[in-house]
Amino acid sequence: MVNYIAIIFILFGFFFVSVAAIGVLRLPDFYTRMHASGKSETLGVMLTLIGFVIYNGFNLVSLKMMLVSAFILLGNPIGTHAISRAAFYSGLEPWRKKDN
Amino acid sequence: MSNGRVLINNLKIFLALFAFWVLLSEKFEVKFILMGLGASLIGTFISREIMILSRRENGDIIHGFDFPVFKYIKYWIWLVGQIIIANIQIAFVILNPKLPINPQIVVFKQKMDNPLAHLSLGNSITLTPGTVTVDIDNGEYIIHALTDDTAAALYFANNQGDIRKKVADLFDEKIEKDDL
Repeated sequence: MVNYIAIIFILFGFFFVSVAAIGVLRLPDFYTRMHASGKSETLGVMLTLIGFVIYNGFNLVSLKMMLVSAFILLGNPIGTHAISRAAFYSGLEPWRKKDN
Repeated sequence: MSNGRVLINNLKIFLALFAFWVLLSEKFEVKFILMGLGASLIGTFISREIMILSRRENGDIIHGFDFPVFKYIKYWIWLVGQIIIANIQIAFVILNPKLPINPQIVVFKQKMDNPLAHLSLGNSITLTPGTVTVDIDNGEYIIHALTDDTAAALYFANNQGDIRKKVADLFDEKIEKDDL
């Protein structure tokens, strides 16, 4: 039973990481691609790690994995912010819809 | 902030570092515990200057570990819920064959004294629906929003701006409701 819950979590994580990859390919410019990679990846990796924790049961190793997911939650937006800020200051113009 | 508060905050750093050591070493023999205590003490000693982030106008120190821990954890749990909603919305936008996006730059001002409050708000905005923090300069936020709805969600004028209110409450900062 626990295995099934773990599998569901890992599959959801897999889905969100796939969405991030598809988004990076489909969206038109750098800033919009940051949306896909910054958000969906965070949740995808976190869900996968939670799945591992559930599969492993509660011990020190799973505590470490929870720590890793907490650091990803804190660190990933900072990375996104640093890259998009660098792009903004080097003068990259955001893509806009053509009709306005 | 008085000397007592600084001592309490340094104690918090020490305990956090020691807990981290025990968690990573997984060894509970006296030798390793003592090594951990020594390493945490050195770490606390080195970081006592770095942790003073800035000062308020009346000269009070703003300390890097001086935040309400339980309120903060509660806030992050709420935020994880928001992140899940955000991701489902983004997934719908990305997987929609028409790709209904209208990217735009949003600028707003939010004056807060505590750099930690700016850090939390910037992080939260990046993680929640369709917005990425591009730059924070002296309380002025430059945000890239993916769709019209997500851009509108940041303004008080639309009876929204939940994240901004929540972060300001978290650090007891006063914000002006009429900015933009």
